[in-house]
Amino acid sequence: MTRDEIFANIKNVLVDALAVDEDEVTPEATLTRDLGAESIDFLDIVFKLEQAFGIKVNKGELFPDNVTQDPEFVQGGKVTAKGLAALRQRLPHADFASLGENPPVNKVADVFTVDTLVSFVERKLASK
Amino acid sequence: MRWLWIDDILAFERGREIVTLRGVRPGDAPLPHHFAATDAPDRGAIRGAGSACPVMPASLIIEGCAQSGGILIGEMLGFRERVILAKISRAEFDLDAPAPCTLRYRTVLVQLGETGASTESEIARQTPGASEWRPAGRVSLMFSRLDRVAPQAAHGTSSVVFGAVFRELLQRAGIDAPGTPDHAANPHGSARAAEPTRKADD
Repeated sequence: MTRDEIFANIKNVLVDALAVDEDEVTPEATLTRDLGAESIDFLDIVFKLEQAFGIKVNKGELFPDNVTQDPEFVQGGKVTAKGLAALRQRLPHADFASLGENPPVNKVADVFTVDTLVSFVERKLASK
Repeated sequence: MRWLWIDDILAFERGREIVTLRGVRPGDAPLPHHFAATDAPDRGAIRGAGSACPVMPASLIIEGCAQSGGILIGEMLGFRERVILAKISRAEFDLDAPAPCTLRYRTVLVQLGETGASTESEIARQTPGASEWRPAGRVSLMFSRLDRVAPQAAHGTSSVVFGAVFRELLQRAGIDAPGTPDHAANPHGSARAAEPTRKADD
């Protein structure tokens, strides 16, 4: 499956899960700020990706899990260097470079764009 | 106000499907205060009654589907986890449900994951004197396994749903509920529901 085909399928997933218009789903669109995803929507997206692509997504594999709540990784509302390293190691499909050093924890969600999902699915399909 | 929005379990197949019934009666608490948005005949309004005929609120039909899905998911988890309705992914209604009528919810488990689950329900309606069940709507729901996603929030909370009436409903259908609060005190009707208990009539 090509990257364009993956994107087309992900667009359908997001239109269904988030009740957004097709033209809102661009590669650069962030799931939370641009498409209005809330916490439960992330589970919905995971379920729909599993169905659409025939893959299994483990807890914490696509989106952060127990990283931003860990006091060792987040201090004073900002992600520590250790926290960023953990995010990079656990979520290699996401680009955390744009966050800079010690980013506010509420900025972490901005990293997750439509393109992030495409990269994730591309990796998963390649490893099947 | 009643908290239980299903009256009976017509069929149950572990991990796959549950079929439940809900009787809509003129005296039900919410009905005298809730009326159809339209008296269009294709919405199933009672002839001559028009919009003056109270109907079952769609939100409570969704709750009935959620309780049905909750049983399906909860049974898979031994009723030991708090499973809560987290998202109404889709809710479409073709017919209103004026009293008296019976609603049937056929709910299938679509996915059960580490942190949540999803179900899809087909709603059908039968009116007195009619033998057929007419399609009345579709509801897709997502559930969160609260103990997994927010253990702090789940800690110390008790189940509102699992009262004696709910447990009795499960027992009548032969569904064991070991994780429900009063199971140890009243462990009757503990036949394991690994096979369909009854078949729903179409």
